[in-house]
Amino acid sequence: MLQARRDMLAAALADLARPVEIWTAAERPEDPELAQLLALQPALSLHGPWTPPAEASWPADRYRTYAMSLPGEPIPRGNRFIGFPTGFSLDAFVDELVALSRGARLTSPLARETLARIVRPVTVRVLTSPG
Amino acid sequence: MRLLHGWALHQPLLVAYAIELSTYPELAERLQVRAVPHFLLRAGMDEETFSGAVPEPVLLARVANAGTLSGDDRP
Repeated sequence: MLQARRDMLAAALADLARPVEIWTAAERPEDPELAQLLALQPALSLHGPWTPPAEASWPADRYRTYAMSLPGEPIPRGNRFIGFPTGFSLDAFVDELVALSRGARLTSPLARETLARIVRPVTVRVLTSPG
Repeated sequence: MRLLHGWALHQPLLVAYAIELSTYPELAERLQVRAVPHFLLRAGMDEETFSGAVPEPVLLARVANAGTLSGDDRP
């Protein structure tokens, strides 16, 4: 990784307000980008493997699955990342780490009221190519 | 994605995946993704797909509606 890139990531990770745990759903993959993040910010820690709900079409061992959580909270809860934090998606992953650490849950009163209507498990998959 | 993950962190019945297509291009082919972001909503046997920028209230409503019981399940 270029030094300038490392410096940018370090600056972004300096905004981490509190420790964040990163969970992997497979045996610790050789993930150089993730290793860089862990080296740049001591408040990040790596955990796992955990077993996400099994779905045959999305095997964790083929599509590397990651999640984030705050220490002491149900782990890992709600969020998943497949293909992150490698390559072009590194910035997006770091952005979410910082947002989670700052409690930026983005649950407005309207969203909380609307989400309370959910009575059965829902999975939302967003396929994207971060710019 | 931060929005969806925020909702998922708040609602235990909701799980949100962000899937990076440039890392797994075979998924784009398999799922016939023609535009991003491409959304796959699944609840029980029900599935809904749509693509493109979706206003937050619309996305919120679609997610919440997916999580309510279908007509066949209502008592």
